Amino acid sequence: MPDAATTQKTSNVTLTIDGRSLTVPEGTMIIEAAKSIGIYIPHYCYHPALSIAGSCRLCLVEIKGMPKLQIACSIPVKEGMEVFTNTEEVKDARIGMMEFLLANHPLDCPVCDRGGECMLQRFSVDYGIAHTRFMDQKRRFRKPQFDPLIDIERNRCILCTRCVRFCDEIAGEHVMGVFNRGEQNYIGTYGDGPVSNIFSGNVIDLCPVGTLTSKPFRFQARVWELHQLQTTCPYCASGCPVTCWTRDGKVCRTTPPIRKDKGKYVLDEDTTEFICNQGRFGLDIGHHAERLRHPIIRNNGPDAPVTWDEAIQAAAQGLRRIRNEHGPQAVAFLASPSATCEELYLFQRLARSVIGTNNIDWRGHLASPDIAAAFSLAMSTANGMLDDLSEIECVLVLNCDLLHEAPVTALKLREAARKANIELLLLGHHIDSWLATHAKAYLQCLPDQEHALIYALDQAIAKAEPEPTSADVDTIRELSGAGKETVESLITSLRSAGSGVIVYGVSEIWSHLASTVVDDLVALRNTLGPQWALLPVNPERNASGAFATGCQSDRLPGSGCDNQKTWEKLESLWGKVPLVRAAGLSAPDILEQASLGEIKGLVVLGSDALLRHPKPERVNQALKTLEHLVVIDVFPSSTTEQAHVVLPGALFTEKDGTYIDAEGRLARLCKGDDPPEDARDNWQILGELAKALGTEFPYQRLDDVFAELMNLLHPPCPFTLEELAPEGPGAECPIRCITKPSDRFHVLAGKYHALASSFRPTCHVRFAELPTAHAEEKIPPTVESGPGLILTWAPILQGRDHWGGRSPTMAPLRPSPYIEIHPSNAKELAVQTGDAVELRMGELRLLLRAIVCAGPAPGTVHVASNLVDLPLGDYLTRLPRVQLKKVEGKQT
Amino acid sequence: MLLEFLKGLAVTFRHIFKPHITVLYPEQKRVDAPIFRGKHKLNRYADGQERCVGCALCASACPSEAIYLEAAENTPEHPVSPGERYAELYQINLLRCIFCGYCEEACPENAIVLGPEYELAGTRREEFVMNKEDMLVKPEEGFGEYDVEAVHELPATEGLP
Repeated sequence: MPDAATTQKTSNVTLTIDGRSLTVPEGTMIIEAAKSIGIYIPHYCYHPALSIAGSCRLCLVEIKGMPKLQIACSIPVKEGMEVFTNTEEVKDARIGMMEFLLANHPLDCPVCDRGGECMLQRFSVDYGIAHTRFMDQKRRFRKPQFDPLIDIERNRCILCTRCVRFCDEIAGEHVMGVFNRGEQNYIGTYGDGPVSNIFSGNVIDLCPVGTLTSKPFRFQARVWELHQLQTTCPYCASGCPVTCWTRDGKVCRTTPPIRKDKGKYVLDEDTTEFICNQGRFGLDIGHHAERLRHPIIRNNGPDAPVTWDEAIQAAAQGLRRIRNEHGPQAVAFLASPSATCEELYLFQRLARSVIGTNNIDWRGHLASPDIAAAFSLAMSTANGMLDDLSEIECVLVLNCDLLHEAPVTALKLREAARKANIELLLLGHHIDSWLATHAKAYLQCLPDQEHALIYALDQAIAKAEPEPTSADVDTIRELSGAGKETVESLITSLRSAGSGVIVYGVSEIWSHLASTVVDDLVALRNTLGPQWALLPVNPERNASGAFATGCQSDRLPGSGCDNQKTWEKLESLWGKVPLVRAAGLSAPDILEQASLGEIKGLVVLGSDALLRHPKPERVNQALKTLEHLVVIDVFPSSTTEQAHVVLPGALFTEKDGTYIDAEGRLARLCKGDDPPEDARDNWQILGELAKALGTEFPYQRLDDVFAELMNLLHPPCPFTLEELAPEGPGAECPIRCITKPSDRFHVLAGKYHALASSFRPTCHVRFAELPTAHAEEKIPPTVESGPGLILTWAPILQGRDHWGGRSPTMAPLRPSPYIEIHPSNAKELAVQTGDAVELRMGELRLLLRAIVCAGPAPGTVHVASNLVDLPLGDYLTRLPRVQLKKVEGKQT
Repeated sequence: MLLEFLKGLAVTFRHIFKPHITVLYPEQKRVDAPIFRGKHKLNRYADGQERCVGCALCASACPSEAIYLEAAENTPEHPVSPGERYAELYQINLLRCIFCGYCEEACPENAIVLGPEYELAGTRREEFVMNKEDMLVKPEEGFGEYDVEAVHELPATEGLP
């Protein structure tokens, strides 16, 4: 009997809805079961991603055997249940509920921005009565101060509490609530403050009525006037699909992907794909006044706009002269990791087959070749995916402030951990304090002991049979300062997981220990077994694409530079020109050689990577020394100012192409507008440049470039560019187009397996004699000695300025410079969140806002490097120590 | 044969003494039907505020896509219309307009009406794109059946924030 009962529990349930029989897993709510066979039950408060409130009472259905109507959102299905969703009684009840909801709702649909996609409007048409029986004055609220991005109109609210539940459960911040009682019920934030989280914009889409609307979109257009451009967000490596709603080519608003309803594309009010505020509000830069609109040739005179022919000829002439006089190795190419795969592919073809050099890279933001090598290693061992979290049991996040680097990836992980679908473990000198609330265990350590900790963990797991030895546990405890139970539970989770992913933040790998840390992680992954995968999170949108397309000195499209077959294949593909196989320079070396005068010509495709270099003066000096600098970009920057030829390119809404995100997903970028004035699509510019240099590219359309590139990958991607967007821009397109995990678009995996066999011994040799007590003697000191706290840093998404910082919406909301302090250090300094803190680093004094959180390890403090003005470029081989002092009487 | 000729002349003479149907346009002008659909007018409230709230329902009802408008938010210092929203840009392309009156039907505020004016000749295409100032009724013209005060923001209910 108990056996039968257990099987019953995990089995499916058969029921009938409106006479149609269906089988669904037990525990499914009626509303979801009905949805699965295409029966839509009207609802306001129910949302598949949120907890059940059951407050709107619109989803009432009749269930045979139950005396009264029941709400479909909170009644789980039962065997043999008979549900009726459309009887006269149900309709009557809905009409009654609509009358209650409309009693206090103002009749201001013409003014309301939700008009046209409002659920209240929609069900009023179905169930509303044309006259009102409510004779009293409707209740009226004043308009409060609310949020800089979200407009609130409380009179329209139907108190479904979707926004409140979203903030509590998904965004993880209890900022919104329902206040007062009875008729005076209203939603708001505590103290009428802003909805202060990075996902706050989602409450706009979640609101079924016009209570919460977008401020930047306010009165811009009616929704039915807009054109929907289904594309992908260009800001971070989460790679979210988004829909840009455009009017005359101008992006009015951005939302998660839309749904097709009765032949029309509408905003899906039940979407579970949430996007962050940067993607939602930061895409409105296409018509920015500062855009580069005309080609410029700089001949020590004023920048008069010239024709495209003149500019291309000038650019090509300079490059040709340098190649002829100094050889092709005197020319170098630097791409941006925000360019599309097609552009990057053409760019490296331009370098390799037209000029004849391997001096090509996308990592202009890296300061040393060691870090570049670590990047190469990280990218070539990446094989993790978080797409299907139901198949993953455990996720280990190392040193990654995911919330600020790839917010939606963080959101997915946190959701899975909250619902106990995965075990979330955090490790490192800087953990994501937002994720930590739902982590099973986390270990923190000082930045210079990180590799020792990973090594110790690796040893503990390798030796643990069946339990880790107490010596190993003690070593880890000594390094991390964590309790015995934490360490043991972390090791148990790692060992027992049937599948897992190690996520680590590449942007926090900046010291000369970078490659050691990646080595350690690869070794750890090998110890854990093949069910574990590695996933480096690169904050750049298309870093994976740049790597896959061979836009890197040590990579070819789809394989490493040591692969002779690829060289031969490329030679035959690119017109039987013998390619130069001499190793090229990585970006840090290119800049070094340029400042020495060895590199005389440079072509830059998008200057955003160079602008993030920790030593801008070094970049400027290198660029100044160049004889010929050609820059293709969309906005002016310090790089375009130094350029001899500036070629204006196209922004993400103005071009087609593809991006590859951190998890290897291929996403289609769709064109919705033309580049402004004289600006052109980047791939055409590259084609013209090649033509002027004497080699004409054979591509008629962008699809040809895509097809050629995809054929070079292993295995080749089975899609064409058109298939990624079958009906073209503005129509239905499976943006998140990936093949099944088994035959995943796997350019990185082949390399991984090759490395895994040879890599592990190297890694162990380095650490084999690492007794914890003498670890410091073997490893060069990486932290300044002396008193004070160790400073660590990483860039954040909202701090980007070349594109994102220009958004008129997001720029004012850029966070003020802050410093994260661990609670234990904050207590010593008597500092609380919001206090002003003076940071002293040598002679430098800086006023910062303190955030007390569990993010940095005890003894360290963390800053967002693209918000502060610190000479961090001087600290590439050792980490600085800083002194903090609370500034009394100042609140920031 | 003569008889047929006289019959014809009889018709002619009968009409000679009837009142004239034609008018000597442009010196004389016809009196139109009250529902005549001519050039559009944008109504105002008696206090001079515009009735149009820029909801764009006219533009979506228009079968010939002759209407283009951009809305904006009222400021408390210079409210253009009662409420939050007004039409910052309101254009009707008379070359596209077929004077069907659907915009008038769609308007929830009785803001746009088709007036009696039919003298719409011009020499350049640009002249036919009417802006707000070409359509808004002048205060001296009166407000006709719409002569009512604007309903302004009601005060908040007692006891509510």
